[in-house]
Amino acid sequence: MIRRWALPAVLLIVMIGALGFSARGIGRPPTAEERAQSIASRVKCPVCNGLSVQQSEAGLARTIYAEILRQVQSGRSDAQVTQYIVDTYGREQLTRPDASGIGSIVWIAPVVLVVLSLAGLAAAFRRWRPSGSRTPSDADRALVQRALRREGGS
Amino acid sequence: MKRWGAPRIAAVSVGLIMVLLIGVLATRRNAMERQRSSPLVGRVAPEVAGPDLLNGGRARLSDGAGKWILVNFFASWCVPCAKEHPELVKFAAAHQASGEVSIFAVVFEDQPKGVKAFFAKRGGGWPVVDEPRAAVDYGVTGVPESFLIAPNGVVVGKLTGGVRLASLETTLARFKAAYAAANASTTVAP
Repeated sequence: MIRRWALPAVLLIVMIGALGFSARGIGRPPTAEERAQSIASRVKCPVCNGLSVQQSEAGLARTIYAEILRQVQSGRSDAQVTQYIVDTYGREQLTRPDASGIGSIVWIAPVVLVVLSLAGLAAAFRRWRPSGSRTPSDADRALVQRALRREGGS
Repeated sequence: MKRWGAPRIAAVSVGLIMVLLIGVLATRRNAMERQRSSPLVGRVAPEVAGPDLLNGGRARLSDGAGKWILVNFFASWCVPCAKEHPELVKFAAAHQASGEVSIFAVVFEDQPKGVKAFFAKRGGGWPVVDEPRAAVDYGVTGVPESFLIAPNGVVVGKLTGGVRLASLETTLARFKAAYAAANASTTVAP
């Protein structure tokens, strides 16, 4: 009996432990390093292809990260630090496209496309739904009778 | 009036979105344009201060206030920097007498030993500051990169790649004329 429940009990304990371990950071404010990492993940490395400052080991990326961390530690908000990057390298240096002005089209377009696709599918499904009565008409019955006669005759 | 079906409305809408997306991509500045331009142009130059590797002590960019300053980001390992250096030496010599133009060099990812050897071999006696943060303050992406600062402390231009004396003088003359016309206003249009 004990052996039967041992494995599920161990698995349950491991699961609860893993959940507790992963949730231990929830509820506490992020550290300066965590905030700097988060900001750096949204800044493109200027000397790399397709890497953020957080991912890159390039010298310039490390210098930018050090400056981001220094500003976070000096009490500047995430928005202020991000604005500093925009003021020095330009908005194109951010990994996320601009959500205002003409650049907002890249955020809006996918949503509009999904809505249009769903509307198109709904319209198509409605059209495919069989319409009219499902009861066979006299002509249908006659057609079936003729076919059965042909089957019987052959 | 002809009734538009759902497929046609959807096709027109998708087409419109595609046209808008192409418009967004077509109007974006390309990598070369982004490299040549700088959000700093038209704004007060960020202060640069740090140890002067060549002359000893500390050097500050603001010490040259009231002059035209060419802030030059360079490294001793950079081949285009070595190529442009004699041009900078000539440029500094040409304006030494008037004292209205100076060069302020900032080391980019380099070691003091290499920088000292670089200047010992190629000449030049302007301040050479080692302050890594300055590259971020100026949005530098590689070397050589130079920024021209007007006497009122405003960045008026960014020069990407190695500079030549002739083009440097032409650029300076153009900005000087614009600066004189603007009569020391906060922004200088070339």
